[in-house]
Amino acid sequence: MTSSLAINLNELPFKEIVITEPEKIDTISDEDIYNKEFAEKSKQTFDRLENQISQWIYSVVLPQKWLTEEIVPPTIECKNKAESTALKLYKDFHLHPIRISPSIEEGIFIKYVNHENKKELSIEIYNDLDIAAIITKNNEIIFSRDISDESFSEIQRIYHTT
Amino acid sequence: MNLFRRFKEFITRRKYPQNLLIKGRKKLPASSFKDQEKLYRSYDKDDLDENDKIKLETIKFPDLSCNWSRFSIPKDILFRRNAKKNDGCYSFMVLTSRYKKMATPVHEPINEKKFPNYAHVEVRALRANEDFHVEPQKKRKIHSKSNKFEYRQNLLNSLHIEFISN
Repeated sequence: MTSSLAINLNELPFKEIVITEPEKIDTISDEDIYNKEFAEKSKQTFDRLENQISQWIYSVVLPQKWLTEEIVPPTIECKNKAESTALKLYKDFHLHPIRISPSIEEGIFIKYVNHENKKELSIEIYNDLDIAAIITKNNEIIFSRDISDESFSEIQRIYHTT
Repeated sequence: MNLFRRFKEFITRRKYPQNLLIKGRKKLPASSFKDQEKLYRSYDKDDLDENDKIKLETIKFPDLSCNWSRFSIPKDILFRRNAKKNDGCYSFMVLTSRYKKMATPVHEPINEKKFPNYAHVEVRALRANEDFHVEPQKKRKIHSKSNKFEYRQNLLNSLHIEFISN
């Protein structure tokens, strides 16, 4: 009975145990701890905002009046593409949408506002998975383009320049 | 009950704008639209953003139904199928509807018993080589999504609220 409870230290997981020397713990400064905590909090915030964007997109439903007009709601494929587009714009360019809603043109509409230069970026992702983008400033259209290769660098540049 | 319904119909009938009745009038050709005339379109509260501005994603194109200012006033948009008493109305000029020669209004009177509408028009898509005197068919496709998007954005930028939705 006793021999069956014996622990073999050569077996996993004990093989992987690393013993930290006390003097090494002393070398971690308050600043390091703060930076680590800050990075962790930033990552959590980032993840939370990503989740918010995703949830926002998947919760989009068509208004009742459009259903009676036989407008087709956004498909799941359209929502998937809208999600990847919005997350790409968020991760690559830190763009956070102010509105995500269904489009009467059968797809998802996403809007961004740059408060510094008064530019507005509108993107529509359609049920046939085409994407179109438009940038306006003071009610003037300054850019409109079909997005075929999911390349948003030019849009981002025009949207941010004053 | 039947009597009540007939009385209600009688009252409604009396209120119906006489200018919307067809009265044997003929459909007019596309060439008769003047650039400065207005087209009236209904909207409701769901079509407004947080600043009470019309949302771009609620503007349909092509085959956009409107009333022609030559034969109607803004309030006449309340006399249509599926109208709600709280509906608002915005307008844009015929000139706006012809943005970049992408579309033109077509006179399409609705000859039905309950909601006859002589003022009814539809803004329909033109092909590249077509002029404003052409009457495009309904349900035409515009292949460039960004061109459609730009057309709708221009309409949004140019529209004027005639009366608000409440």
